[in-house]
Parts: sequence; C-alpha cells; structure tokens
Amino acid sequence: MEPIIQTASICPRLIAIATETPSPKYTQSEVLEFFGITDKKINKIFSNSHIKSRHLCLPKPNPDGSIRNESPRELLQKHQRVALDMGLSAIKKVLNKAGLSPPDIGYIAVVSTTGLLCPSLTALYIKALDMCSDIHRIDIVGMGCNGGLNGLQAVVNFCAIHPESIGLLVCVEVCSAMYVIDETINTAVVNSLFGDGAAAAVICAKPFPSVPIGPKILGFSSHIIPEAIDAIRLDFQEGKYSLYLDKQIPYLLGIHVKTPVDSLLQRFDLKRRDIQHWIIHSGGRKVIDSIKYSLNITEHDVRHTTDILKNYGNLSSASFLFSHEKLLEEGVARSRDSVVMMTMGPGSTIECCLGEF
Amino acid sequence: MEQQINLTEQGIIANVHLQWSDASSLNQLLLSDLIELMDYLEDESACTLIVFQGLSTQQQTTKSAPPHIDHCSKWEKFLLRVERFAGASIACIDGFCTCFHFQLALTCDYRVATNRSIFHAPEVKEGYLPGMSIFRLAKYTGVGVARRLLFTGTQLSASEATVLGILDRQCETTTLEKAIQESQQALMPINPEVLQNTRRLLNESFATSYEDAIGHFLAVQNLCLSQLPK
Repeated sequence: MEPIIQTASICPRLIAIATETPSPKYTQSEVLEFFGITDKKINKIFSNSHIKSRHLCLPKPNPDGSIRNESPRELLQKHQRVALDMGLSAIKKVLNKAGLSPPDIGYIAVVSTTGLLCPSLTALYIKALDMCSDIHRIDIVGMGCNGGLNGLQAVVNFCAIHPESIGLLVCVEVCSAMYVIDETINTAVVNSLFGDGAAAAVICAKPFPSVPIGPKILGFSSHIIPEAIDAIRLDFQEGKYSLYLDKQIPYLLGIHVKTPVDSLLQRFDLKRRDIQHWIIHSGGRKVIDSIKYSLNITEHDVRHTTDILKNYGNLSSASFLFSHEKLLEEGVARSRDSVVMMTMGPGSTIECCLGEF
Repeated sequence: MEQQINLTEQGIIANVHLQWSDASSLNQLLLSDLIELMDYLEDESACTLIVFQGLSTQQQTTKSAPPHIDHCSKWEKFLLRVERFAGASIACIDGFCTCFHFQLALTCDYRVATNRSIFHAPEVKEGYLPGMSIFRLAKYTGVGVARRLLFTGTQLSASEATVLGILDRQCETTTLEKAIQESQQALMPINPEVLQNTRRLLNESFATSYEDAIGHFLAVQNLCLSQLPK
C-alpha cells in the first residue's frame, strides 16, 4: 500500500489547540464514595490507577442520597448536552487562539465514540456557531481512543488538497455517558479510567504569522492487529453500552508498537533517537509503561501523557490533543524538532503521525 | 587528521580502540567520531557487544583546561547512547584511567583491568564536575564513598576499585587479552533487548517505588517473553 504522506510543498500545520472539560471534578475516592462502592478489590483498582482526578458528569443524587440508575435515553441526552457544551467551548477557544471566526472554517471533523447522534455533532456545531452552509464535514464515530489521529488525518488531507482552506478537528468524549455499574473487575477498571473532555485543533497549510504555531504534519502510519479485534470493544448490557478492555491489551500494544513507529520514521529517514517529542495517548499506566519500554523512550518523553492521565484520566480520542496542548504551552519545541503522535484503540489499532516544528 | 577511533568487528563483537592519549581533553572531532560510531553500531552493525580499549594511559594526565560546556553536553549524549545500547559494553583498562576515560568506563556494563591500573577522578579538585560520573559512581559505591573519592581526589588501585564494586575483573598485565576474552564469554549469550531493559530497570531501581516498578517489570517481561522462541 502506498504510504500516506504529505507532499513536501503542501504540509498542513497544527496552528492551535484548545481544550475544555465539564466543571465537576472528582478524585478517585470521591467517585467510589459517590457510588457507594466499598469492595476492597475495586477500591484497589481505583487507587492503583495513577489517576488523581477526573472531570465527570455524574447524575444528581436522589433526595434520599441514593444514586439514580441513568437510563439509556438519559445517557444519550447527557452525551448530546455535554458534547455540545464542551465542544462548542473548545471550538470557540481554539478559534480565538488562532484569530479566526466560525465562518473561516472550510472543513470540520468531529470525533466521538460516547454516543450516536443523528443529526450528528458536526451538524449541531455548524448550526450553533453559524458556520458557512458550504462547509465540508465528517463525523468519525465509534473508532474509540485512536480516533483522534484518524480525524487529524482527514483534516490534514483536506487542507493539503485545499491549501487556502482552514480545517477544524474536534475530539469530544463524554465518557460519563457510557458506563454501567456492576461487580465485575472489567467494569471497575473501565470506571476507574475514563474522564470527560473535548479538544479542538485548527489545521491549515497557510502561514499564520501572528500565532505561535505547532508542527507541520508530515505523514501518518497505521497498524491494525486483527487477531485482537475483540480485545477492546463495546458490549451491550441491559440496554446500555459497556466497554470491555482485555487485560492483555497493554502488553499487546507494547509488542506491536515498534512496527508503525519505525515504518513511519523510516519513510523520512529518521530513527527513534531523532524524535525530540512524543505525544502518546493516555490509555492507562500499563499502556504507557508498555509503550515506553518497547520504544526505549524515557519518563520525560511521556511526561505530558502521564500528566494528562493523572489529572484528567483517559479522555479517549481527545487525550493526545490535551497532551499536545501541554507541549505547545511548555514552549520547549524548537524549529526542526520532530514530534511523534500516537493513539491506540479498538481494532486493535495503533495510529501514528509524524510532525516537524 | 589523526585517526582517533579504530573499529574492528568480529561477529557480534565490536572492538573499539580509542587513540585518545589525553583523558582530560575533549574535542569536536572526537565527539563527532564517537557519535558516528554509535550511529553505525546502532543502525548498521550486527554488534551486540562493544569492547572499548584505550581507556587508560601509561602515565598520569597533567592538569588541563576545563571542558567546554557544549562538549560536556555532547559527551553525555554519547555516554547515554552507550548506556542505552541494545547489548552490552566492556571497558578494558591497563594503566591510569582518569577523567573522560574513567567516565566512559563507568558507563560500560563491565570493567576489566590489570593489577597495575589506577582509577582517578580529579575534576572536583580542579574546580569542575566529573560529568555524570557523579550520578553513576554513587550507584556503584554508595553516596558516602563516591563523595569521599570525588572530594579528596583519591587514586584507587585496581584492588580497591574491585572492593568498591567499580571493577568487575582483575588480571595480570600479561593476561589482559585472556581476561577480556573471558569477560566477553561471561556475558554470552547476549539477548540485546533483554540486556537493554534489564540495565534500564536496574538504573531506575533506586528512584522507583515498588508500585511503579512492578508495572515496569511486567511491561518489560512481556516484551522479553514475546521474543523467546515458541
């Protein structure tokens, strides 16, 4: 298969990134207390998660203090309401950072897995922001944690073909709208891990001289592991979606991760040692460890990944943009520095992207 | 320009003979050659065992100018690549091992030296730091001994270095080649990534909580097991 690569003359660039979370923020012990969970095994899973706090939209308790079992309809309504609130806020922030207004956007890609809406989030955002009626759009639904880079690829490809156009990527995940409560260890792991968040990024091939910008996007690579297709999946449980995570997933990713990374770098005559910045999906501590030791990269290389995990949990498709925003804010990236972005998710899939500042 | 590095390869063993007579002096050319050497060994060579020779002189180095800070940075990057090499490294010493020679020897996985060898880190006495030897030496000897050696500039005999855990094998001057070969054999068979990750976990062990370390161990163990023949 022909490698997915931008031509040297037209390399769209990440212009700006902005993020948003819902207001409520919970520590792990507060979540356990909220749901009245006292099981020692489940407590241990939460306390060993390397997560300090997460933003979550949890249901209002009943007058007697008990927690209402949210219906599938209520969860979907929550997904729509919170995705609109967070997504619109993230979009407004990123447009402000880039000095743009909604009609300037020629292409919008929205990535989300935590709810299926029709009309979809792109249509809802376009209406809410009064964007142009001839805007091009795509909704990427159901790809899970890796979907952010699949969405970035769509926007980058559009901007490479239409260099005068400005693209917008929105990753919005309301993980508190997709959960079940039961006694299983799998559910405990899932419920200890995910958080709510939205991230938006402006991508464009045109120069933005007045904005301190991110890397130009050089290329993508993808690696799917079909034998592990069921390792990360959505099940249906009493009318609700529940996420299943195979406990071997971190190790599986560790074994396979070199393949897409090294093949991407090889196309640009680079080695792993040439990469100054690593933006890796905050999939969980075990995932981060497996990637880190497999690629022989340092704890410093994954500092933003671990920081986002610690303070926000796993934000699914939005995680890598939260980390990337931290890298841009840090201001350490110098011209010609290389960055590898990496997301992992159902398929099982590893997506990679190479950028250059 | 004088050749400063002589590389010969025998199967998986790369013999690196350093023609570097002044252990207290670094220069840009040498640094470039060392980086090129690592590029070659990592990217093109089948080598999984680097044997550094020429890490000693027959007489004590006289005091010289402190290193340039840019050279310090590049030197440490070179040492880090030796320390992260997928495989193992041996330092061979026969004489005075001091300054940058000593720093490279400490970075290697295994040190073999003749009985007449002397180890010395004089930099602190001269008003600057002995590179990241501060970090590495303390891991071999403990902080207290490392502090004494650096503060006092004490010269260590091979026997003293062995007792402190700095030296792994001692030999007569006439049997150095045999001792080097025996050291190579002691490290065989080499599983490159297993050694790379074992070294890393050992280096991280003093600064990692058990709760974190168990996760690191499981991640690495899985990689190791996945590469064993089925």
